Amino acid sequence: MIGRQRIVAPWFVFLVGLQFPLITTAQPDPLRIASINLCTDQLLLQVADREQIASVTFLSQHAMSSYMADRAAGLHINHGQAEELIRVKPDIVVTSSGTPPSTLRLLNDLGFKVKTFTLASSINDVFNNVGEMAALVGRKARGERLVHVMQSQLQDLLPVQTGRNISRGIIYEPNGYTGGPETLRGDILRLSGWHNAAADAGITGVGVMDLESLLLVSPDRLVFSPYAPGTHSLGQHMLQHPAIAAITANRPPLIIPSRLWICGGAMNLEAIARLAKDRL
Amino acid sequence: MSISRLLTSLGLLVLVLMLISINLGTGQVNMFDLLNSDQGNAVRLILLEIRLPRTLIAAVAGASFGICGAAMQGLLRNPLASPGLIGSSSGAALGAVTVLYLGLGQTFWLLMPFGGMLGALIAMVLVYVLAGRDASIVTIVLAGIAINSLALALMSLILNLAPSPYAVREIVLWTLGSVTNLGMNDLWVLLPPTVLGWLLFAGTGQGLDLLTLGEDTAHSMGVNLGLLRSRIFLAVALSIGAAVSITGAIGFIGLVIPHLLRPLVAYQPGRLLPVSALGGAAMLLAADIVVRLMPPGPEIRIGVLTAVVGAPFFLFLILKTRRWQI
Repeated sequence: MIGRQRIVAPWFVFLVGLQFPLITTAQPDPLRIASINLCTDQLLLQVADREQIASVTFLSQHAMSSYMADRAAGLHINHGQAEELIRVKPDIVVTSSGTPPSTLRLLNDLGFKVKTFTLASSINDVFNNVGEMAALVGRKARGERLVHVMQSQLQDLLPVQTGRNISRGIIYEPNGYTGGPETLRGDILRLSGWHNAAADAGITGVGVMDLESLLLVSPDRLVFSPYAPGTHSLGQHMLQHPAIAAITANRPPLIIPSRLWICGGAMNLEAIARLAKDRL
Repeated sequence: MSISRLLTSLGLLVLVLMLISINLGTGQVNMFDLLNSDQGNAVRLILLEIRLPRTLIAAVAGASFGICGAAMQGLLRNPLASPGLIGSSSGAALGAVTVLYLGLGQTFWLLMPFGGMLGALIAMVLVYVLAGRDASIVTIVLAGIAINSLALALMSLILNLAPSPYAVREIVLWTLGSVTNLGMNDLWVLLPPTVLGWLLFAGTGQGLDLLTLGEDTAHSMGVNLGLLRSRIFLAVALSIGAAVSITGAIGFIGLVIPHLLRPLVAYQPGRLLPVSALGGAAMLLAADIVVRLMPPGPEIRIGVLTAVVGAPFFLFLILKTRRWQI
């Protein structure tokens, strides 16, 4: 399993990187797309040519939350505000379903064409979104290639049924936020061979579980994506409650960097690989 | 009712409430489940690591709020005096917030009560200095409002600027209080300054009793007013500072409990101190029990419940005071 994990990341990067130099022949004036949401940033950065990207959010340049941070360097930056796009004059503005309706209204009033992507709540949604974004930017073939690579990598990673007890994992964040089976992270957890203990508490989507509920589902390990490490608050302190260490038999939480699964994209495969490697 | 009988009945009430509290929670687990070892680890952890500290902290913090209210009402001879009014609660919250969110020291959890105590002390001294020595009820209330507003503003500022992205929403926890998600570590951190504060209170009974005869009479009978005042201020800073840094500012306990129980101790401030401690513990435990009996959903803050009881009582108190001032 260890060798497998090392192969996934370079493979994907190589393949994505390989596609771009091929597009040098004469093309009609490229569509210019601006993205005002981190997750559409990721999709855009994975399938579009650099000249097609009119603007991405400032978050896409943060290595903590953006897998494509290197590729986002040097691009025009926005903060999700409609007024920042006026100078940029994109042909299409892409965003995700969490955008405030006031922003969408303003964009429409300003005459922008807006395409809203549904936030992925499963790996299949991710495949669909990659395909959709690729079609939008006129790079359908590239999108299909990327999805095909992701699907074959997923096949290689799918766990073999061994008949052992499936390890019980749970995503647990400050203030008790967790993800059920109908979230992207929940789906990733399932695909990597863990049983999502949040489902035992009846959680389907994003939910909150208090400490007592957490103890009663008896997770073997917590899965944690650090956000703003080194800062302090009551919510973050809650994760250090001694009962949590006790119920997981002092196994430290599995750390999956936010950038690998906070948004849908090819990096989700790396999250699956890491989680699969650490199965008990 | 004799004092020992009163203390015993209140003590029993607190014990009963503690027993109820240990058996309540989202986990639907109770003490008797400990006897079935098949549920095992989770049950034991819930009872001993989550519910037990929660119950004990609620009792200890409630007792601190109660005894401080009684002491301040006795010292200032002011029926409206309470930890919230005189600025100690908000000062303590400000001190604790400053230490926690700005990450002062890696062992911040031990420093938090220190921040709370320092904040409480500074706030109380400021209110006292603003109001002046022979302050009327109105002046103290105004000074208290001023310092409370300042503390709340600074707390909001710090929470807004804090590095942690979770900080801003936690202002609710600090202003309305919460005893959820506390562990035994929090109890051990709470106890030393609290016990110290209570010990300081223990010796003030006689002085407060004599103070009811007026400052000059008390002075002539050997009460050192300055020393009594400093001692009570320090005791309030220690106990409220520690309590608020762990539970947040929970209002109205220090206001309501002394008033309710004063007739039962024949209006003697000295006897009111231990009685208010037990009464405060009972009130906070009862509020926490009601919190857990609420329907599932976003947790209702414990300060909301004490306010729902305390605010009407406060109105009643104002009306009663008006009637006396004809």
